[in-house]
Amino acid sequence: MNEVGGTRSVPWWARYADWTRLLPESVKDQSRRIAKLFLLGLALRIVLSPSFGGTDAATSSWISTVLMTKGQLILSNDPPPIFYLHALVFEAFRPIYPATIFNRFLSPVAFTPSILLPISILREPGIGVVLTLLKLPYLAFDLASAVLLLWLVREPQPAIRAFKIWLFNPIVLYVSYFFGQFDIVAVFFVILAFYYNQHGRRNAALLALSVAILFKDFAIVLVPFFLVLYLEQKPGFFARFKELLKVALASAAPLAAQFLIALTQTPFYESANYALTGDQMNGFFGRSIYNRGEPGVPLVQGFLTFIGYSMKLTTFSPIPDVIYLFPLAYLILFVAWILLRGKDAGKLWNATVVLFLLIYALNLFHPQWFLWGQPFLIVLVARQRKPVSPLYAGIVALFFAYILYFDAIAYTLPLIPLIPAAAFWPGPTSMMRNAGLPADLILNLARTAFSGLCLALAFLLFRNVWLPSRTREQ
Amino acid sequence: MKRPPSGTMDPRLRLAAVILVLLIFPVAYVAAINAVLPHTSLAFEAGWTDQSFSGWTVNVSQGTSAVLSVSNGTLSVISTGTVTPRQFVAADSPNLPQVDISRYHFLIVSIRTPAYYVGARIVMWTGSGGPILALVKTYADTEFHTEVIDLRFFGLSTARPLRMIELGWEGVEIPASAGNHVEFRGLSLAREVGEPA
Repeated sequence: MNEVGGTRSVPWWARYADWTRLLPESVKDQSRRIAKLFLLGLALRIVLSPSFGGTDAATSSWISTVLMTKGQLILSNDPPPIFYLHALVFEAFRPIYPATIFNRFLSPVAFTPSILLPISILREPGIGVVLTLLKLPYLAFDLASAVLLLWLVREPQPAIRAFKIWLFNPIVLYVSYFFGQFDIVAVFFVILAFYYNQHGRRNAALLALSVAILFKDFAIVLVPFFLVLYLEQKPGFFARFKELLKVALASAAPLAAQFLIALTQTPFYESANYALTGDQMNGFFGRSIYNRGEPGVPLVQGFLTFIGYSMKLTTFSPIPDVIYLFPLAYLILFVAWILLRGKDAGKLWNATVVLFLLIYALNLFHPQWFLWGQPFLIVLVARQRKPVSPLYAGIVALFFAYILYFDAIAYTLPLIPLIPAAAFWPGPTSMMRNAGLPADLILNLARTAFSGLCLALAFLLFRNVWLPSRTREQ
Repeated sequence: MKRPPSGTMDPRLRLAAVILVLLIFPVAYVAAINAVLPHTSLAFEAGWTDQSFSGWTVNVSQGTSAVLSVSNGTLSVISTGTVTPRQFVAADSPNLPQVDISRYHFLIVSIRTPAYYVGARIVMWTGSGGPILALVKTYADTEFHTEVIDLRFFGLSTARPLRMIELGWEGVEIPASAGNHVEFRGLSLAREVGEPA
């Protein structure tokens, strides 16, 4: 190596090997510790990637493989962009894509009930490779989220704590690597939006939020909160109107893009079984497309699950008067946000935690949806510790009881890639029922406790943000 | 031996370490896992098949008519009148031999339809209760499609065995004129290879 004037010259490419450039100054002195945590987290993820994957992971692989090969889109509740990302990765690794699974995905063999297709795929030779390829984007966005938390939390110790909790968080690992769902992609862009917002880069924040919505519609529930914050910080009618237009564009553009893709991309004619009903009937019958037994655009129906999954109160009047609890709670929180004085990025963070806790407490939600709130909860735990930590630990533990609702889909089917015989195992809830235990009662009690803890934490945060003087007095 | 302080490692060594950790180890691990895990391709073992379709009879909705034709193990259900939406034409099997449904619980058949306005239809009859509509599907092409139906999903079991199968089709959206036909072949009751008994 050349040495000039006593200083070693460094080759141009060497800086790319200097990973500490990814760290903020505040934690650079702890780079060794961070590196160890990062490598452990990476190793854990690599161990999980080829070994586990649920039926949703197999279905995502099917949609993406058909898109890659035939250029046809299988219409589903999920926004299409994620399948383009997967198709791109599959295409890049086409030479190592296992032929057995490739042929199965393209074969004209259909199953009734349709879940038998993904279950049988999870037992095919080469499934480990397919699951790893599927999870490559998850790995990238997941690790990027961990690093982003270091940038987002400015205090060094809480930042490293948040980094550590994220890397070894059972929810993060379960959703992305055991269950195999793609929500981490949208979650990364949501965190990025909050990072940019914290640094006053509004346009970048809106762009990140827009990309998050593009991958998963849930991020749109955050938009009104950003809008109110931005409007309050802008003086004058025209400045506010301009801000309103920007936010409207940021939320409408990704939705429009999803519909444009769904309309312009040649659809794959997935034959629906018209003899079945409800969740079992998806695809085309004649020229009509059905989703969960109803004719209509799957994307719209996916979006409407936010309402359909909400708890509701019905009155006893002859007119079917229904009050949905989650939209009601959302509206109350939003009005409180509008009325809150001195809004800033920190308060927006706390309001977002409250919002996600309300979603989980008052809605039926799929296991992967629980990932949406994790970065917000994790940072809170890292910063405040007690009383948030024990509450969060309780919520996480009860989440794993809550997902017993999904029985084999949440627990035993994701084991199939590692233990193929698990395809024939009953789920834990079925086992409880078979053993004569009151499974439904146990589940409902656990669900009630889960909602209770979510609401308790939401109440604590609400009091801290909206009634800080009262909190100080105590 | 004293370790060099952080950041003084030779950049080439550092790059090699990064490549090793981020690329070679993961690839080797995934390849090893993939090779070691005992996976098998999906395959079925038939417990009963009907390649000849002998003894099958026509069954149609009121107001329409059909004939059956069997050639090279393929059963064709051909309409001889217009089949409007919700009307059906079909072939009914004779009484089936006793097959252990708890073991051979997949009904497998390949189907070819002429157009999306013709919906392939499979109905099952057990000893008790009415007919069980198991499948009504339209296809976008004129290729054969194999349908694998888990009979347990429809409540069939050793106590409630399969007595008769009806293979046919119905009109969808617009009336199907006389001469339309749907073909069926490879009918079997099967189990998945490797499935616990």
